[in-house]
Amino acid sequence: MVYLDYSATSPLLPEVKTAMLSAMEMTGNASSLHTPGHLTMNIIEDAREEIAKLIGAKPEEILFTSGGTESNNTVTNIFAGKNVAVSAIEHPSLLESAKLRCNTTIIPVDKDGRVSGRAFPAYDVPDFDGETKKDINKAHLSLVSVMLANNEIGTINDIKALAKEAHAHGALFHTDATQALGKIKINVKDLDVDYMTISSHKIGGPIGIGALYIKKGSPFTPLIIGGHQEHGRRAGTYQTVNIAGFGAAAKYANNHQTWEIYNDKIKPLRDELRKRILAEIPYSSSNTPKNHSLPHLLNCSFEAAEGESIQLYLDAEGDIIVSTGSACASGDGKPSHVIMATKNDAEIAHSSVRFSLGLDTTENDINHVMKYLPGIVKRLQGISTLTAGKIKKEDSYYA
Amino acid sequence: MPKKSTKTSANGFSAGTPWIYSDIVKEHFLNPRNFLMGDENKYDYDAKGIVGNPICGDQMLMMIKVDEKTKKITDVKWKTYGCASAIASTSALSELAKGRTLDDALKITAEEIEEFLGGLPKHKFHCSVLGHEALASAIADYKKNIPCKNH
Repeated sequence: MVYLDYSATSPLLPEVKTAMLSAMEMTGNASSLHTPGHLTMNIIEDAREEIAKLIGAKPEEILFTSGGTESNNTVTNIFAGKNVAVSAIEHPSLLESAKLRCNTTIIPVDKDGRVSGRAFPAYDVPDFDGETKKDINKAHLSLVSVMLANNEIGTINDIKALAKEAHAHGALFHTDATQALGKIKINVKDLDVDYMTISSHKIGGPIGIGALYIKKGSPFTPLIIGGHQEHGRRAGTYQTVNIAGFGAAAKYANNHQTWEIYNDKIKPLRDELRKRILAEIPYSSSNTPKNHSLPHLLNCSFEAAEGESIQLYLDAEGDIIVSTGSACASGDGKPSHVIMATKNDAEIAHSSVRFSLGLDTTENDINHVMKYLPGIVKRLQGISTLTAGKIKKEDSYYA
Repeated sequence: MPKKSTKTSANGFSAGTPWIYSDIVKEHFLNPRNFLMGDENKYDYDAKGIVGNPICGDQMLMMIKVDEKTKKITDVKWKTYGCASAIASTSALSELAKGRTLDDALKITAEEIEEFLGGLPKHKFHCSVLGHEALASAIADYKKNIPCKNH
């Protein structure tokens, strides 16, 4: 099998399995004060330290959650009823929960998925001198959220500049770094963000565990209540086994500086795949920007060929695992909101395929994809009711 | 990393590996029947129907040949911009429709196609009726323009 869906989830690292098996031997509830409880809590605090180190945070700034979705929901819940601005290409767990809970403005993106601070909605910058008596929470922008790197097309946004701009607006800043973690170097202090979402299973850790970085002193309201765990910030018995796994995955990333490997070894493979697709497959185009993109991700569209069919033929014929932005694969019947926000073309969205590489992807894997993909696309274009070649775009086969 | 090799059959589609849909869906997806490769104008059909919209992610074109005397469908060809379920269900439908009279072919229901295929995931029902609607549209087109060819 050639697995190129690492951005959906990545296989457990052997180091992670070992750490999890070892944690399974523990019996104590980490909140208990007896010896087994203490030993279990030690595992959790060791993991917290590794995770904090991975993003340049202090351990006490790391809140364990059940994953990226809960972290994002926790943030929008803090700002319930307030004015927030979120980019058009956020993950649905941020976008949908912000729309539900907050007075949300959508920040548009350019064709590459980049956000400009100039596009932030205009609210009054609050007057902190105490002169105005009006409710500043209603009068100004409270939070801006822009993901560090997009999960579908891989675009990296300039979070440092956007956080600075948000702060100048009097707003706090959250970034969803779920896809960026381990792929590029991240430092919360350098980026100067107030909240950051991260997840375990994109870096070789288990599914069901994530974290929210909360800068010391930032406003907080718990999403899950009814327990004193995490200093009252997140109720529920500690998931010791999953936390141990997340910690081991973070330790692996820290020890191996995985972002260096992605840049040196994986990015050239991604670039090679991109080059070959655009050169060898008629009517193909790239939805992933050449610059400012994650090193392991490539999203391409194949005009007149439907994405889910490409995905399933690659699976059935070539044992190649990818994902698609086609409506038929989404479950809700809608094309990718990310490609609609960037390219504004439903056919491009329905015909899109995402390849996401991992640390063990090789040149043979890329060659294997290029053995099957051109023929599959050609056949689907051949039986298509659409005529390929209508749309001419830059950064494509025509370029 | 590639471990498996697969054989490609004569029509370019191939026999494959374990799969999420039923064996019959898989068979019709990997070896679809009666599709038309390339330009539709090269096929001498008597009537056609096209339904769906590429903006919504799928479109289906059905072309039929009809025996004027018996009103039986003698041949069916189709083209699609659609997903695996649309391809498989339209392939199955094309087999079911061939040899039937126009009126009999109209009686083929979406449920019948689904049953023939051994079931489809619930959210894929929409895709499976696309070919069905295209066939009905082609039959209506035939009834409207009986003597004409290649309009």
